[in-house]
Amino acid sequence: MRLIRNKYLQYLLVGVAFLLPVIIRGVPTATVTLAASMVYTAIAALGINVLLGYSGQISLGHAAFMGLSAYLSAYLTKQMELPFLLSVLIAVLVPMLIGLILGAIAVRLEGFYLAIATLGFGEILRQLFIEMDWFTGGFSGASATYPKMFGHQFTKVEMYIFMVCLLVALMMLVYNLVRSSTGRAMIAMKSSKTAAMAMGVNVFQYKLISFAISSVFAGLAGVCYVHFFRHVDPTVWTAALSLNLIAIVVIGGAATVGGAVVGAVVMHGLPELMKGMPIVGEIPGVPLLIVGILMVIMLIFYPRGLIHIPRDIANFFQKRASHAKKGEV
Amino acid sequence: MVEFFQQVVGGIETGSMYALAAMGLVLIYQTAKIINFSQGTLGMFMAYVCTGLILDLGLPMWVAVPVAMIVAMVLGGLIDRFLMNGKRNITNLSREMITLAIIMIFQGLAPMLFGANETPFSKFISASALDLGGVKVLPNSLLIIGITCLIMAVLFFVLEKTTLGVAVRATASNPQVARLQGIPVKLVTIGAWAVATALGCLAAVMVAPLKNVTVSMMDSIHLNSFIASVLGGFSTFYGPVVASFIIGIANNLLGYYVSTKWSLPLLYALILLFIVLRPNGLFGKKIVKKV
Repeated sequence: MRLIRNKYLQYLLVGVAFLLPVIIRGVPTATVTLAASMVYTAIAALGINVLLGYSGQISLGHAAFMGLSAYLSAYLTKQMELPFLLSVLIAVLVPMLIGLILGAIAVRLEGFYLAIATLGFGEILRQLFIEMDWFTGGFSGASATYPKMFGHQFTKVEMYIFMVCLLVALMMLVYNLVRSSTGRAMIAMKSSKTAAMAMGVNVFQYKLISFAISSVFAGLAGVCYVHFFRHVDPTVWTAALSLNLIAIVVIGGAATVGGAVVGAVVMHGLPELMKGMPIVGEIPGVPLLIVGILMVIMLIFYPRGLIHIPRDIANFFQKRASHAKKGEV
Repeated sequence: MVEFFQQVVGGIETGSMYALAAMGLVLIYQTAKIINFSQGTLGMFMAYVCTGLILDLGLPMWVAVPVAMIVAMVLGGLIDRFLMNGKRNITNLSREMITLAIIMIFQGLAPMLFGANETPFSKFISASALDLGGVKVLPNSLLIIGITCLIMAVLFFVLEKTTLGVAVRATASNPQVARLQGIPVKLVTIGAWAVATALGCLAAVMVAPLKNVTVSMMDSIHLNSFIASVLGGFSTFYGPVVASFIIGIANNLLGYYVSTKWSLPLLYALILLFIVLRPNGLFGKKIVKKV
């Protein structure tokens, strides 16, 4: 029992669960593709969770960061023919620097103003994606290859395994981060900026850190996207994706490591599951409709997030058990 | 100079659509303290309803649009009553997430009920352009601007001069105190949702002839009305309206004098800069937070 409570082991189990489509023979490739989109969204959502869930800052521009990294990585590996790891490093550092700039802006802004500043920022970046043909390929988009690392050419499945490993590593990283002094400072900043300042937390510094971390995560997600799907075009990186990331965090469970992953799995998995169903999937719009309705129901009756469901069920039975014992006495 | 005015008139026309949508956003924000992300999508859905009324039931446009607006009011009221306040203790963040879910629901419903094809939508008045000292203005544009001005005038009159307006403003400034003074806060928010959804419907019907009726027709309008609301300051009713016209006109002028491709990014960059320098918007007051 204690072993199961170990968080690292839990994260590893999540990784193993994600690997199942690859391990089990005869799973159609479409399933692997679906799982891959869950994984890259989960990575981005983890970053948003650090920003929104733990630090209480909002951003509607992170989709553009993902796009920026995707384009950068595609350009660097294909046009400049840099090695994969180096190009990933550059593709992640650039959004981080921009994230730092946004963070510096964020110090002056709160709530909606921050939301709109990041939204405007994201839209500007997206317009750049469309207009800078030489770099992004305009509307038709840019293409990339599966990565090559240490002289080994990845296949689709290997790229997927790499993504899952990255996700598990990042989950552990976030878990450690929020339990460090940095994490505590962020959480203090979230509950009350003024109180945190009074206790000696350098709010400026921690806002910057949380923006930088979430931009790096978004960047990694973008890199994963481009090297798995091998194509990137500007229609993906809209404000709707940024809103979706926030919805994933809230639905999965804000300020929990697993919440981002659960949210990503549900938000990506449900519509696909609906599409696959016999009658329901054939009418256009029905899958979206059902997911929307489920989301409303969940938000009304279970606003804390899906991640808390198992513990609440366990608590419920424990309570009943203890009540029953009292009855016997 | 003629070209300048031509661009300004075009800007006022798009600005009026932004203004209608922004007014809806601010009404809901002020009374219920949430941002309604589904404003654009609800407008889109109502544009579909309106097309359905015209094409399938054969109603003339001047009947179909008011009927659609009434349907929108009912829809908005129902959303507030049953989704936003269906259960006690829903946090505002959850409410905003619910509006995101509403986007999904109506983006699913629209193709399901009305088919996935683009539907053209005719203008209110199809007469040819009037020549006002060299500036060419379509009567339809004049109608759009006129309707917007009329609605704004009525709304501001109601908000500033009537008892109903006092109730809305009291709810906006402090819902608890307003309730203690006997103002039916719940009814006020339902009313705000109803009016806001109807305004979104009207904005969508005005956009429809330009873009055809599609699922994504309201995306850019919604985005710009949101930006206008922030630029003008969410804490006032008139700020977002003024900002909407500024955005509409500035976008056209930048497009004409600088570059059509870069007008919108440039405009967003300017707004970004402005927000950083004046974090409370054009007319917003600084909100002092208590610990």
